[in-house]
Amino acid sequence: MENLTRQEISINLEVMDMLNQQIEKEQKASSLYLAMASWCDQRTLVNSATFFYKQAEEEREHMMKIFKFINDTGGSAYSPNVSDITHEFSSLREIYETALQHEIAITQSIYKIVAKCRSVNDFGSENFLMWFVEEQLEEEETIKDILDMFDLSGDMPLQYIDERIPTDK
Amino acid sequence: MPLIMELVFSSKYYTSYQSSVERCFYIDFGHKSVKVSFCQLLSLRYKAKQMSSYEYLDQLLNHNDTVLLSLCDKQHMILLDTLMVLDFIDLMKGTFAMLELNAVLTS
Repeated sequence: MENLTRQEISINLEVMDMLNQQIEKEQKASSLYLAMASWCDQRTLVNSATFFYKQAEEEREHMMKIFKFINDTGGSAYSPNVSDITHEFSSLREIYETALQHEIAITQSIYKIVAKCRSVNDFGSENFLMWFVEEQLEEEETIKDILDMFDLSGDMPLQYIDERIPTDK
Repeated sequence: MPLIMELVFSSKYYTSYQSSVERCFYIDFGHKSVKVSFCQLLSLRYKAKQMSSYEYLDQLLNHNDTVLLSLCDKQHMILLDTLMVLDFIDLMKGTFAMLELNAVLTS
């Protein structure tokens, strides 16, 4: 029987399913960062708010990148349904700690897809994901640096810490 | 249905075929046969996956026992009961497993 499937789609179907799940994770991260930006904005933590608004945009860009990749390679991308986004945080530090946990979870998820690509010889998708591997390491490092700054600042006022949050990444 | 069709997979109630000449697939639902493109087949696979969850099947079995499945950009509607839904899920799993096997054999 002629291999019609391969002529229609260039990526592995299981990888496509995992990428669709990743779309949902990236969109969820975007929405979570938006909630964090809102919390910061309401408390006049201007730099943190700017930081998380940018993070929210970046995560959405990641989501769109995967979305386009799936459709461009002949697969079907599905618009994610995101709910249960928390807007309650107890401190600025907790926000950054949550953000780091989230970034680590996303990195691990990307690694799993890369491992799957290797096991099914989907080199095209693996190559596409290499950009995300590098990007995730940068994201984690940025937030780790901020948490280090919290440790170094001791009991300094929040405004002092917020002024040192990078907004030009 | 076109004359040249190759059987892909048969579940208890339904059968899928590939037409290499027309570059499409057919699903025989018993009372009617539906022509689907590959992307429409992918869409059916997605629906079958959504219908595979325990929550979905529990809701279906304990409440209405029927679901209206729309196919091929809403060109067709099929009414399925719970057993038919389970069979449709089998059909999609089997169809894509056979297509993958075919890809391995032809590569």
